[in-house]
Amino acid sequence: MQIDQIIPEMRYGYEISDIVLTMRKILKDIGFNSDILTEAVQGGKRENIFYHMFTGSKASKTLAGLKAKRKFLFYHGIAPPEYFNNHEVQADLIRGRKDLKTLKNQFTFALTTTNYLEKELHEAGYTRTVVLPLPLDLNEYDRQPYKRLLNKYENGYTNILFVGQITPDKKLENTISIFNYYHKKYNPKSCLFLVGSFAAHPRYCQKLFALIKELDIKNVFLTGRVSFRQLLSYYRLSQVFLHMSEYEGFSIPLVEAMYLKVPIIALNRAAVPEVLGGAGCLINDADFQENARQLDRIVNDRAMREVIIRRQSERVTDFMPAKVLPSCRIALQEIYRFVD
Amino acid sequence: MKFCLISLMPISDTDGKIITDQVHRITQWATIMKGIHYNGFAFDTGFYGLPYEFFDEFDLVMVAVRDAIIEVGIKIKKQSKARVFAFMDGEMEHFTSLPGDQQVKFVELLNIADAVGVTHEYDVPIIKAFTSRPVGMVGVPFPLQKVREEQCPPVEKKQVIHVGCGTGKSFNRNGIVNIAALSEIGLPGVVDIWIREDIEYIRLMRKYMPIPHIDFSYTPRWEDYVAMLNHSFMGLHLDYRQIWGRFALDCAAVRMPCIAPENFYTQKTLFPRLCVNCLDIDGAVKLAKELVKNQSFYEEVMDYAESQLAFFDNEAAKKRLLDLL
Repeated sequence: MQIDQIIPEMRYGYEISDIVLTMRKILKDIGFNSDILTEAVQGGKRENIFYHMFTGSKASKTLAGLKAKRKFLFYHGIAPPEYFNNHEVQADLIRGRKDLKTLKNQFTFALTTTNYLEKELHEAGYTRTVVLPLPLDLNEYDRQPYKRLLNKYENGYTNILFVGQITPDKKLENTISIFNYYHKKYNPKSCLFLVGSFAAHPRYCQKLFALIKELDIKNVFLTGRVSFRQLLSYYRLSQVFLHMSEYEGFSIPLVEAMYLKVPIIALNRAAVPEVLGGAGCLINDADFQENARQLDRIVNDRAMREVIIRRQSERVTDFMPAKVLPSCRIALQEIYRFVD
Repeated sequence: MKFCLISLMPISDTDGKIITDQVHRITQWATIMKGIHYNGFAFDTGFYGLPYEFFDEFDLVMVAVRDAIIEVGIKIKKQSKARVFAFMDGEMEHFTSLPGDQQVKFVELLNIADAVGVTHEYDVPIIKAFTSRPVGMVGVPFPLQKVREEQCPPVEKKQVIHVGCGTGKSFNRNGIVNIAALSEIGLPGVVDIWIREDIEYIRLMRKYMPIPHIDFSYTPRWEDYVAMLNHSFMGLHLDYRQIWGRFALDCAAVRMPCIAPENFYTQKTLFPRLCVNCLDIDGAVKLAKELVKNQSFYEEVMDYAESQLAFFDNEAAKKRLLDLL
């Protein structure tokens, strides 16, 4: 039995590419052959396909030329277009959201990773849906971090971290503004690391640089894309993970931070509370003053830090393959039986 | 009624012509009375080539009193047959801190004028102590209909705070306290000023204070200013002067709340729940955060302001003036 996966493009280190690889392992494990194809595939006939839809997918075009006995949608979330005003990606997002609705009858079943995204599917008219827990291979994160980076920044400073693509929906202007307050009012010996690729949104990145300059804040570092070991170093160096993103369908960096024992302060939006599952510290709005105070509390209150870290460490086990894989296999087998 | 306004508004080509501009400035008195305007200081120096007897042809001359034209008001009353209305233009502190000899002239004008108008109810007992002439709160007429129907349709507000009194550099009317309050609130600000020194001032202050992003904009035309104001979420104007308070009224007209002291007459009337002492940063911050987080509070505040707005409209102001004469 063959179930192939189609993804717009595979890129090393990209969250959804990693999910596709994990899915292939699971599919093979339960007895399916599975190839990974990009959207460059021209027509043809396939037995079963998983189509991975997210920002940048060209679903209508790809699916129009593709014949398959069954098509399954794997929905990863499409960021709301209003965050991307005056940006070329906005048209893609509008089209993506439109495709999600218009293509609903093409799919036998729709899978996704969180209840939040499942709700989006229901709103788009999908009735046969399932939330598939994602197994994450977190053993990788036990590797040695990049020593030179550790040496460079192990200087007694308090480091605040964000990890993720530098895109407008991440609301990094709010992260920077909270840090501005924290740095000037509570702790001048502090740094903010914004770790992630900004290649896709250079104008947004310029805007952030302009804000940093305007606010006259020292010690804000946009690192760009980093190697895996460098990423581990940033987690190791940081005292708090500050996540002000307004749209997350899942969020692997939150899971990483939980695993690597970095206390999280995160905006209570989209799938974030679901991913944290009661762990971390949720905030309800971008009140810079109050959030900076909270940041300071978590940095300095040892007992509070330990409670948060303990809860995060408990929560992260819910994503471990040992816990997730069995239910993931069962879910996939049931879907297949149901539609067969 | 033939009406003339004498003020210290800058000299203009339109001086001596019927004013039709609908703006929230002292000249709005001339607009609603279908009258003309002259700069009082320029008139006295002969700039317009007109004698004081020229005012005989007017039924009413409103003198917008400031120190530089107290004498002009006295001359109009003494050298013409026009009725003179002394309008206290600006903060009461301006008059109470005049040098002694000017205070005598000021009180003389108050006593020979046919009536006296002020911009805050708190001014009434002060002026009444100086004169036996009729004294009343008249304020400045506001072109509400024009603003609502033409210039400022309802728009989606941006989460930015319009700071009413500049930065503290060019107009030092408690500006630094406003900037400090803005920093504590944490929302981006808009300041209607574009002077290099102001931007530099903010830049230097930012080394020590978490001042949020500020948009500096310069809109010399009132119509442009009020259209821009319309896009903000709330106003902040912690000013120490006892004044009319044009800003709070502008805010209410564009459907947004204003945090300011009750020494603005407009603020006291329109936003009694948003009044704070001009140095009360904590109070201002708490109110701002409540407005951001509590939609029903925002709506209640605006519903009340809306219920009071008619008091400030052109016709209501005209009635207050005529009732006093």
